[in-house]
Amino acid sequence: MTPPDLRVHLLLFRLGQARFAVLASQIETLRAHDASGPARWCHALLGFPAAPSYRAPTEALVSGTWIVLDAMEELLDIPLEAIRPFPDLVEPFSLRRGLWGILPNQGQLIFLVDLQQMVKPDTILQPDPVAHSKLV
Amino acid sequence: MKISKRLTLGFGLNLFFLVLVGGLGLHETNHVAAINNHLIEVDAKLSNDAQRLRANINTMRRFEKDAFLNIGDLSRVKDYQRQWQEVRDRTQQILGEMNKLETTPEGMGNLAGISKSIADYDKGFKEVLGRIYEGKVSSAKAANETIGPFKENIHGAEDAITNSTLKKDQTLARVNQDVQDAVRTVRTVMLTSLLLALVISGILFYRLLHSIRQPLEAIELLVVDIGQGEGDLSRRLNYRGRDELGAICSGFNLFVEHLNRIIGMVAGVTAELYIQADSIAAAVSMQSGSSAELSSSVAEIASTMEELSSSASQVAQHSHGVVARADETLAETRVGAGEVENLTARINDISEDLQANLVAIVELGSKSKEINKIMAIINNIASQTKLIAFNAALEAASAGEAGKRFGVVALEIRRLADNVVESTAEIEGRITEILDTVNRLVMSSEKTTGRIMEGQEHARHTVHVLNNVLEKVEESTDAARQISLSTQQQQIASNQVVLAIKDIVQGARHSTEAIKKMNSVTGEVSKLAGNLKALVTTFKLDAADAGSGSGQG
Repeated sequence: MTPPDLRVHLLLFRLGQARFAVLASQIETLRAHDASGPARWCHALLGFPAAPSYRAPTEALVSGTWIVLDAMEELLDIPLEAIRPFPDLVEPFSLRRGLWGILPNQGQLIFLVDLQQMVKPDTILQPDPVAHSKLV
Repeated sequence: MKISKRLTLGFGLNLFFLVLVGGLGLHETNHVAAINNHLIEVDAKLSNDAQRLRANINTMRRFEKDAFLNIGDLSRVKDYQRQWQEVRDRTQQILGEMNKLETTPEGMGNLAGISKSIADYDKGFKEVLGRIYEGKVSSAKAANETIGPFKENIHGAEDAITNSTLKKDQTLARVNQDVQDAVRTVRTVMLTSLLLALVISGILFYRLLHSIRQPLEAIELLVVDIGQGEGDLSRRLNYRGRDELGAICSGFNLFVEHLNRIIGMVAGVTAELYIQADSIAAAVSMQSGSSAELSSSVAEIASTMEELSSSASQVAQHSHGVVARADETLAETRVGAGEVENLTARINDISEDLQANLVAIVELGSKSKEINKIMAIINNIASQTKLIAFNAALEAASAGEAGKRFGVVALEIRRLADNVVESTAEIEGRITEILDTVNRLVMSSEKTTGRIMEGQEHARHTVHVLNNVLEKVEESTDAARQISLSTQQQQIASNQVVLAIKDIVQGARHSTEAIKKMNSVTGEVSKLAGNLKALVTTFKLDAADAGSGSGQG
């Protein structure tokens, strides 16, 4: 049982039809998306087969790298124990993708991503030109 | 000699005798008048002057006696002297007039003696008066004695005047006798001349009357014989004189010859007339039958024309009704054209209003788009605000417990931003709906505008058609009016024709009656021609003229 004061702040955002959350502590600041800027697309970091449609693209500065997120919805203050780990079967795979837990919320599942890990140099990818063109 | 010359000669002789008698009478009358004039102008006036002279001398002697009787009063003596002198002056004036009239030497000598005697008396009287004024003579007796020698002369003058007066009376008596003799002579001459003129005029009148009456009686006998006798036109007048009666007889003989020839021709014509009168009678009899048939036919025509006139009256009434209907149709068509024009005007107003609404709607769409732009800006601001709120929340979260309140504020700001975004999204949706509505309105208005334009076109076409209808109705109305007028004229003409045919019927009846009368008259004419023929045969004509007349007959 986790002590009641062990709580975390999660920043909820959407990417396509899926809902994601990132620790607020990983994000240094937020800004509006600048198409001309050197940002990395979140779906590319997560290894989406195709670029989803971004409704409100926003750039988050994580470990010195601007990452394009979409539809930030909420900043949740939740107890750490509300976060569930991935099943063992998929955990190694998910950890490689930067996904480290699941948060059930209002009947839906929110995937927790580790953006700092994802933007490490050995995992940096180029922006997806297809998704970028859809934003224009 | 012609009668006119004979009458002129007789009148001239009468005139000559009248002038002769008148000239003799005038000559003798002038002689008597001259004698009488001398008697009145000279002798009678001298006798009168002598009497006046004697009266003046007596007056002078009376003033002389009065002066001597009043010798004691010198003023009265002077007064009588003045009056005596006035009479003396008149005496001298009378003597001057008598000297002018007197022509005989004896009378002139006598007047000279009288003048001298009066002058001596004047001298003596003035001398006596001088002595009276000197006082040398102071009594009447002395004065009479002094003037005595001078008064002898005045007595002599008075005697001379008396003798002269007696002589003048004797002269007057003698001259009066001369005048009586002259008047008697004139009367005798004039009566003799008048008697002679009457005798000569009577002889001439008898001769003239006898020369005129004899041929006139012969003419009268012949004319009466021709007129009242057996009408023997073979006789002639035998008077062969060169005067006017001879010319009248020649003219009468010529007239009888012409009359003889004319009556011969009349006899021929009368026979021909007798034959033609029979033919006319036959023709008139035939014409009488035809006239009766004609009268019957004309009566039938009159009846037919009356029916035709009645039909024309009905047609005129119907055409009048047609004109009234046409007028009503024309009025209603005009009203309809006016209403359609009003409708067109209303449609035009609606079209203009619709165009204005369309412009306003388009402008509203434009404004909505501008609002959309503003809403995009607001949305952007809200996104920025939300982003700032997220950043603030992140900062608050990193601050731990200290940033908890700040996190609440950031959360509220973020919610506000979300609300703004939601509101802007809702507004954008509403604006989109408005724009859709505007677009639909624009499209609908464009459709409506098109329909209105079609309606305007239809209205214009309707107005054009109505105007054409109006023109046609006007033409129809005019035509109906013309038809009505023509039918009225036709009715009047039919009535006139009926009246004329009635007159013709009346005329045909009169003609039939006249032909009947003519038939009887023709019979009478035929009878009269026979009578005339019988009458003409009563004239006795020359053999040649009688032959020509019977030949024609």
